[in-house]
Amino acid sequence: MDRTGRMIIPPQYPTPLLFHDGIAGAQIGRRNGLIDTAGKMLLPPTYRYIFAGGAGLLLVGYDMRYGFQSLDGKTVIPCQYDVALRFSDGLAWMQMGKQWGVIDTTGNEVLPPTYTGVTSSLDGLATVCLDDKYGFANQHGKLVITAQFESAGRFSEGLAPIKRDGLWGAVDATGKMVIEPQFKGMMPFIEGRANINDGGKMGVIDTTGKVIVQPAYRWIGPFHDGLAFASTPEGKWGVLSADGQVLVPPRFDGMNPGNIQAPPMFAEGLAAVNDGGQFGYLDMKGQMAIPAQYERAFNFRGDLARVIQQNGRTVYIDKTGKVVLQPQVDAARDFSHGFAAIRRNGKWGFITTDGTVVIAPQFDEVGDFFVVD
Amino acid sequence: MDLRFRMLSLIAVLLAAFPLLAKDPVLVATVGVNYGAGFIDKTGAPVPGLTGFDKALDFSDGLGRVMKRVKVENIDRPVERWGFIDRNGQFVIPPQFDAEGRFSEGLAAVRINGAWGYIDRAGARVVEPKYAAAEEFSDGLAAVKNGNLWGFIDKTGAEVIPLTFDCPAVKPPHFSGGLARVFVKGHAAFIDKTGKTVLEWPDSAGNFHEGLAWTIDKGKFGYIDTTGKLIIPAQYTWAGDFSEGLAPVQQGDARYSYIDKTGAVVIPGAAIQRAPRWIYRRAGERGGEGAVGRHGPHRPHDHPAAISHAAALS
Repeated sequence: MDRTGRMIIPPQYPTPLLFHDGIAGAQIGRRNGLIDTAGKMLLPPTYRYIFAGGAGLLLVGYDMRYGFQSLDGKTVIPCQYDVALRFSDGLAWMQMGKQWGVIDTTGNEVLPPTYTGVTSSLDGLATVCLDDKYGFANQHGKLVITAQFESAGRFSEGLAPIKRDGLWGAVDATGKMVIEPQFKGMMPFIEGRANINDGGKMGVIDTTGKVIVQPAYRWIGPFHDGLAFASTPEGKWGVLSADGQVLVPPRFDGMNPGNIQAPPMFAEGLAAVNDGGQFGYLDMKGQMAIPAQYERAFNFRGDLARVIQQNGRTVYIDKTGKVVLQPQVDAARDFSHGFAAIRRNGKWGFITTDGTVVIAPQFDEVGDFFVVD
Repeated sequence: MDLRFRMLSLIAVLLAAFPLLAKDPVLVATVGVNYGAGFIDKTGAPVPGLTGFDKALDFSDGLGRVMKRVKVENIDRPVERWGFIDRNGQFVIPPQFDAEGRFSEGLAAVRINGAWGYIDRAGARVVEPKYAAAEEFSDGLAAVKNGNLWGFIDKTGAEVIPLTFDCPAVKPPHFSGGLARVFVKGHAAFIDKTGKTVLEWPDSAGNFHEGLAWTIDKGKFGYIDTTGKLIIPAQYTWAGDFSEGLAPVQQGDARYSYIDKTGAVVIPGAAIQRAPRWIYRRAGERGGEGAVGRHGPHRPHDHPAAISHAAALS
């Protein structure tokens, strides 16, 4: 801070800065900047973290201080929050100390830090915790469903799981109990289905609370286009349909050895699966569209998927399994918005889907392209 | 003004007020540069050319203290070696010391094989390494320690004040305004450059900085001038050294503020932490973290230089 007490450099270093001759030594570490698709530096490497912040802004910050910045380099709200979530309809949740409040895009506190916990949702209602009770608040932070529950999950598709007297049910956005508390555990609704937990076994209910899949699985992934991967207690994954039928009997191994909660997922109509130690792709009819043959395989992003061949080489395939791109790289990541990060000689750059290196490897680290809107 | 023009003006004002409405989504990616340790300017931006070290402390007299891990014969792992760089980031004195102090009055203390001596700006040894501790030169003298006793050397290395004075390691003596604070029989005393005691204080006290030294009276901190007169009455639960006209003090309520030489609060604790009540509470518990970083110094004796310099950005 300066002599008026104004904060000049937000707290971000573990040790105090000693300024002499206008500069101070610091453990600067990695700083992130921002480039556009032409490789033009929009923001010099300054922050530890940069995310899309909503409202056309960037959410920027250091390990424990976050604020907002515009794409043309202006500080809109200084890094002063312990946590900030992205803006939605001009309002954002932020945490100062142990409490959460709401700010507008000028940094005005619409709601001063009040709640001890907040889980935001796309439904406009956030799950909040007040005096150890859970309720729901609108985007302005105003409680619309009284904090009355022992616990509560995230609103989705107009419903939120809540816990009362030790059991889970669901309320709608008016606070009406739509599913009476009766389950030992419950997750948010996705595609009209929610996972329930009974004594360590997972099942599935619909939005009326009717049990669609009896609790018998070790883990069930989210439904996507009417299908979900589910694993047996032995750790084998199969595919369930939204009406509870077994489309593919459990036979696949986990995607990440040791992590049961990383199920295979469908994307672009195909799911990368581990079939007996080799990776291939399953289609939504339950057939292997691309036979298991890879060391590792990752989900399709657009028309391309990244696979690691048995020889260790990273290539990109199309949906017929044909290798369409073989970049000369030490490492490569998935495509995002038509760009994939690649590493050569320890530095990262980007290629486009035709393999052209459009941003030469020059950075110590890069993130995937994302949209700021 | 005709109506159409007023409408256009209104639209222009609205567009200026809500510039985001006029913008299309932009596709961007983060790019990271690893600066390691280095120097930042007062906006917090890394200074070009002054990055890529393993540790970086500060500049003084135009030379910066930095550490590099270097390969040394007969040792498998790289070892930490300190040297001095110029403002272009070039090593003026290559990394070779176990530790080093700041350049002051043309000399810097350096530790070689566990013992402290002094070098000049060319890197030449002016005082051979033979001390257990060695402080910065001020008023032409530097405090040095062997055993538990402190004395002073001049720039030729001559021990002009013999090593006979007591001082805790965290409170080394230092000449300012012709006086240095030492401890005699457990209480503070101020000596002149001949080593003669000219002022005594019944409790603990700090060295003079900018004409004032903190003193303790019945458990409270205040400040005296070089004649021993109490200029700022004993009223603080902790007080630090003056720097650029300000000193950090801790008020009874555990907040840290900055006062000027009249004792007037220039930057109140509220302004330092500048946030709701919970921050004050935590800042108090952890020692002014809002001012100096989340994991800032915890103990008062870490504070003086730290806070006053952090505050001295302007």
